[in-house]
Amino acid sequence: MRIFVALLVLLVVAALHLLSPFGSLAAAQTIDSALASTLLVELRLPRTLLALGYGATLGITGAALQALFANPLASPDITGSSSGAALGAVFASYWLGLTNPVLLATAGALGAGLALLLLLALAGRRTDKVALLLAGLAVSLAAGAATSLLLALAPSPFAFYDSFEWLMGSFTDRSLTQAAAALIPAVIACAVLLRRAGALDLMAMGDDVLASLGHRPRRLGIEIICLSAIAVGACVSVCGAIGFVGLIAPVLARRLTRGHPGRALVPAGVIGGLLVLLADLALRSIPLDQAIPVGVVTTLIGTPIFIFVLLSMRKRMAS
Amino acid sequence: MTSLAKARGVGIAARLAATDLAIEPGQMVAVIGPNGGGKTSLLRALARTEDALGAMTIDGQDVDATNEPQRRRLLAFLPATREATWPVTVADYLNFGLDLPDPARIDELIDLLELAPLFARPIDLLSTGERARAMLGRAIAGKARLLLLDEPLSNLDPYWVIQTMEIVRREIATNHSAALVSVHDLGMVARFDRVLLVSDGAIIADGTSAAVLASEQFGSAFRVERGDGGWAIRK
Repeated sequence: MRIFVALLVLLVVAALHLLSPFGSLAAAQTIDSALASTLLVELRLPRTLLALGYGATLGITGAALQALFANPLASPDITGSSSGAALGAVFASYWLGLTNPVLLATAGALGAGLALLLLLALAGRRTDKVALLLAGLAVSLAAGAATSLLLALAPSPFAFYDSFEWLMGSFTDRSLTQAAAALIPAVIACAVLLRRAGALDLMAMGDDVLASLGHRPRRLGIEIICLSAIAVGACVSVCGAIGFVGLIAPVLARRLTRGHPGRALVPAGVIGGLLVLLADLALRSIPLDQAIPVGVVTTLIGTPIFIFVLLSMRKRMAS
Repeated sequence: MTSLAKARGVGIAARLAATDLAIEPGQMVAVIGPNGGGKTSLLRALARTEDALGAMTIDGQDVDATNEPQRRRLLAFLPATREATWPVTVADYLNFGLDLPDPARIDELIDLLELAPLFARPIDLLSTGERARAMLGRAIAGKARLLLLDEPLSNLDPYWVIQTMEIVRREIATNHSAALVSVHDLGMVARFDRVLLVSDGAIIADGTSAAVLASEQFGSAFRVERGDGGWAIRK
């Protein structure tokens, strides 16, 4: 029942996101109904679909990675997969000259996958929180530096300027084809991840118990990493990196699932979708001369929540 | 008598040599041995962890060929670690041991293990001994045919050491199942029907507690002997 209410709220916010600001849509309708429908389908629909889909992807992959690493600090951004995806997409775009959104999404997924495998090699899976954070930071910084280097040395002199809006996370001026390139692989990967929710719950008892119940923890781990990389990589290659949603949404979701890591996947997806839709909606509702990437807003909102989570973890450990 | 479980060539690379073993229904088997001798590896190999070699049948069914619900009916494994990675409640942790919700069984376990004051608390905030009780509850919840319990008596006070033994004994009697239990406390060994002595990655003695404790293998593996004042370092 609760999930239906949550999906209804998500649907209402998505509809609000699609139709807002309503004034320009109504004005277009009075001029020409074809113009209004173009505005709605070509411009607004990809934005709404991307905000909803990318947010949900971040929530679901964040929850899956947290369950896998048995660590509430794991997420696509903190584990370096978002930065790895950006690196892959930048390399494909500015150095290989690829423009096809599907190829860019593939490059993003490969970059994210490599970042996660590097993290695994550096920190291992059942690592303590500090080691995971440090290894994630190292992977993120290395991927970020490599991305900057690739942009600085790129054949195009405008690469840095061009990439700003893209890499900071934005949904403006994305086409339906781009939305499809990001969301079709993301939806498929997330659907498979959701089928692993039960096993991820059982992972809370450790790999040996999970194996004794007939699962294969090592294969499951590689599956989760590959699926997360595909989903996040495809979204990052189209919209850039959006910070903190993949970290915060699962933390909030587990409060609804009494701490169960696997059962938190669906609510984390709903919360992630809501957070990104609301952040983008807020950005569009505030009249600004300059376009601010939505990734900046989620990071600004997410940082204090992250600090709150860290503090409550410290308090919990102390007790 | 038909064996409940038959293991053929079970092992863990570099830790436990290929081992054959048969367990009879109703048997409560102690696994003893010096540190690093292979007790945990034997239990892990029987629990069919990812690195387990060989093959095992329980009630004639090939364990490796079963899916999760079938596997739950065949075996339950309690690892030695008392670490809890997620803050689920004790009641939820007990539910992990069941394939389908069974509130009556959960209530029974809460009574049996005296978990009523703790059942709504996050498991990671319990003391190690309390967590050990909750984890034992999870392992016995599904009434599996073979219980594989790695050091279930460690971290427990004397009352709970005896109580745990009685609970496991009652469970296997009621379900006509069997249990393999690794123990360090040699004083508890006499309470078991059968004792396996594991050392250097192999079972080196198998028999009643009296026979195994008196064996030469026991003395050389543990490097202790029974003296007037209890166990003493072997001269």
